[in-house]
Amino acid sequence: MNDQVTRLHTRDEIEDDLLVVDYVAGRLDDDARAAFEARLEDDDDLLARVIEERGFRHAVVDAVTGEAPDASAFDKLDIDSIEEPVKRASAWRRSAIVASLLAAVTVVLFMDRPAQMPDEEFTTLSSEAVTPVAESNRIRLVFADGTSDADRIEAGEAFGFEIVQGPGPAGAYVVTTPEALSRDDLASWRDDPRIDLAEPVRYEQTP
Amino acid sequence: MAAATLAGPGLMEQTNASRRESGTDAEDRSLIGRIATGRDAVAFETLYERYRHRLGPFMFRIVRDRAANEEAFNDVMLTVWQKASSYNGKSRVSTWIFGIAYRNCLKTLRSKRRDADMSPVAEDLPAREGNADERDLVAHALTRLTDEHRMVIELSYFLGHTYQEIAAIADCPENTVKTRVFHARRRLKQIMNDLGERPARGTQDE
Repeated sequence: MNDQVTRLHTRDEIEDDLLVVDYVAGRLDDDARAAFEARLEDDDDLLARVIEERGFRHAVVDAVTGEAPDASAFDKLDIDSIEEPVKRASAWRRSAIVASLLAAVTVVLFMDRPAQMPDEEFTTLSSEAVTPVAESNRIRLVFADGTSDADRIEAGEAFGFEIVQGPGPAGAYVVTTPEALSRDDLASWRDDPRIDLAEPVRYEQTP
Repeated sequence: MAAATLAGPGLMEQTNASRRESGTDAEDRSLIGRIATGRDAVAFETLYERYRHRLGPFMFRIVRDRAANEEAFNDVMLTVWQKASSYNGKSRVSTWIFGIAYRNCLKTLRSKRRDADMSPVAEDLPAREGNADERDLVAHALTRLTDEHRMVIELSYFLGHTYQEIAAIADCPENTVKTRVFHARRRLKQIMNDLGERPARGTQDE
């Protein structure tokens, strides 16, 4: 599980790391490139990172041969039998459809609300409902204020997660775990004083 | 060592590539327009052939199976044929088509895993031999990344897309792409390191 742990990094650290990537990829503009090369003159550590990145880039690009599908693949497409291309509805028509839908949804919400309220189980930020989102192995995570980097790393080691996104503007991370979290797992995350919020995220959802 | 020799393509190369790309985009737009308005099969076949070489290899790197790649690529191009009129012209045609391919690849990877009930580790690459070289090791390591991490690595390293372009393709903020690239690189290096240290399959004492 420990190999799933990723240390937390600041935005500056991420930007600095990607500067090396962009330099080696030739994606820096004139000014940025000149400034970077000026840094390179006096910074042996940066030079080592550039050399390492060159090797890494070659290794990744060469790892798998990208093959185009065979030219005969086109013959397997029978576009004549496919329905007409989807036509874009005109602006006024789209507006009319949206307005109708909004009106319908509003009416349904107002009409159904009293009847649904008594036993409806809602999935909210504080709900511990297991289904459907609690089965996810993607968790949105916010650490408690004042939690040190060391404490965060320790929490990461304890729970075995890998950061895939973040920190966002509100300091939230999205982390993944090797297995989907059970209700008990999630409860233990939430009970941890270092963690302010831990919410399952649907797999397809982009925070 | 002179710093300039450490960088990748020079500025002139980038400028030329940029000119080529904008010329290509103008041709792509013309083809898409013909498909959208006239259901022009010749235009579609031309577009198909162009993207067979541009998009096909990228998708193969993700799918890693000739038959599956052919099917997935044809699915993407069928979507292009059916939805050409929904292309709004705000991005490059290639960004729009790669966006379709991105979602298609994610769907393919997930369904492949679901069908085989396997983790990202267990993709159908050949087992490593005792004397497996670095290429095999990196190929294996790539399969162990999460889908999102693998996609940003391929889009950034193999296709050379900028973070802004990847954000448009993946339909997410640019900072999210940067974070994914950052963590994906670290994770990939860690996996490569772990695989390199671990005895290859078949050489371990039972």
